[in-house]
Amino acid sequence: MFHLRWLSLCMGVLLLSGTASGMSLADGKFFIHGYGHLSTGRTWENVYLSGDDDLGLHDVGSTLLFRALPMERLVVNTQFSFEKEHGQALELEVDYAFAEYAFSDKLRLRVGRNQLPLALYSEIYDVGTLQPFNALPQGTYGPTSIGVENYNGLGLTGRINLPGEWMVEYDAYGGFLDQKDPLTQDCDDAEGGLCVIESQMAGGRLALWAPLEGLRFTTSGFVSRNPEEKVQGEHDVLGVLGVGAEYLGESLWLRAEFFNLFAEETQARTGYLEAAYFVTPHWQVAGRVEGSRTWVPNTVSAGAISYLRHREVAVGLNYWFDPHLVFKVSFHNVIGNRFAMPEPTDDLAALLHPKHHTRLVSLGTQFSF
Amino acid sequence: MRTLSLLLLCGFLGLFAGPAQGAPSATYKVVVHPSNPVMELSRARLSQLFFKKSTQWDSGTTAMPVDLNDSSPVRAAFCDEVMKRSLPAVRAFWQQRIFSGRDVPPPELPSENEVLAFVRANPGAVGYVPAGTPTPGVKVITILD
Repeated sequence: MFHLRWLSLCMGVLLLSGTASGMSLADGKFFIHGYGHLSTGRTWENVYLSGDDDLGLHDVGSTLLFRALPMERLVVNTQFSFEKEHGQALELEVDYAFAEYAFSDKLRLRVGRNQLPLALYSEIYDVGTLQPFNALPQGTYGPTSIGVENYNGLGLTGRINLPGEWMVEYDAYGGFLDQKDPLTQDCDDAEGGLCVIESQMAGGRLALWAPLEGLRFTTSGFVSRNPEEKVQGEHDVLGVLGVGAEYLGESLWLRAEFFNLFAEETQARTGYLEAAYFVTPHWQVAGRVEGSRTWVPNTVSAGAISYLRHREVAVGLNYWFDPHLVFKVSFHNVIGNRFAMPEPTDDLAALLHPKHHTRLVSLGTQFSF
Repeated sequence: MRTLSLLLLCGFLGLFAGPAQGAPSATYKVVVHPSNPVMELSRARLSQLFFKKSTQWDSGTTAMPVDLNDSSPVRAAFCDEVMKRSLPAVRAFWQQRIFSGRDVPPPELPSENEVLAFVRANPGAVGYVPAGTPTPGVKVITILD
């Protein structure tokens, strides 16, 4: 019954959104936009991206974004999401709520809960109409210390036009973020099976926009520190550093990113290459290869080492009714158990020797307005 | 054989016969407020203003670009020739900016008369209207490629 209500609500919004592109109210001083998704999937061998061997409605979400311009140079942004993942309760989350004051194009100050400007998709995590697959690459955007969505604090951003139509856009920020990591030991606060650690952090991103419209190169990173002392005078410190490139052309979308995570207790490297091509104005084909590898200082048994590895090849076929509504189907072939894990069980032997190979068929629809 | 060669030559020359992409178009004209000192503008600078990569005129006045709505063929021509992107690609660009909390697109107005009224009312405004539209009370500027 709950699924049916959600399905009806989302389908209603989806139909309304078909031709809409947001609402501008109060003489262009107030804007409402939104997006949402429905997705399901069927996996073989392990649980992956909320999919298991039951083809049910797995992942439903809807988001509303409000943007107000109360006075010249000042913008107030807030975004709320309703999310329901497979087997979990409905959650209402404030994705971001911040005020931005523009001193000039070169300098804008942001205060509040901000999206973390880290990777290419970091600020558009769940906007399916900007992505060729139902889910993002898990090594970069999944349940790791890299895949953080937002932070609370202060940020500076701006853009500088360079000769020859080049442009640099920068972000520098500091504050607090909630890191979520299933590999963390001695967890005090868990959420959805992930350990949550509120950490102090500072970071930045540089994006270089090329004269060829749609092409940009990025480098970004942050350093975070667990405020609790591990032993007297010592804090856990974690660093993330990455590079990326993106080309969003008329028919071709290309994205590639590589991130490195450094910490005393763990290290990880992850990267992916993603391509999508519009064969016709409505049909799009997509492909992605991804690899992620994690190292921990403890010795890991040969059977369990696959919990630190992830390799994936995915292919997809999408039908775009218009840029605001898309249906997607994709097939994912995964080796490793870093993100594709066995069903929860009391059988320790089964957990220590998981099946390494997972296949997923994913179906979904996304809309935005 | 000679006819075939001539046909091929004509076909080849025909590739170059159309207006070069980005050249000022005969389908629209770009208008600004009469108080704006700008008389001509490069295509790249105009594109920056409509992508909001730059939000100020050289005089320091806040730039206020205004678009015609999607259904206008002039909008599509302006996107292709000035912004160097198709209309769907421009829309995708704005989706990315909107949902990343960065910016919102210029306002879209349903008719050229409303665009002209907007430009007349705002000293920093810049818009475009079909080439044949009378433009009393606004200044038409030249676009350089």
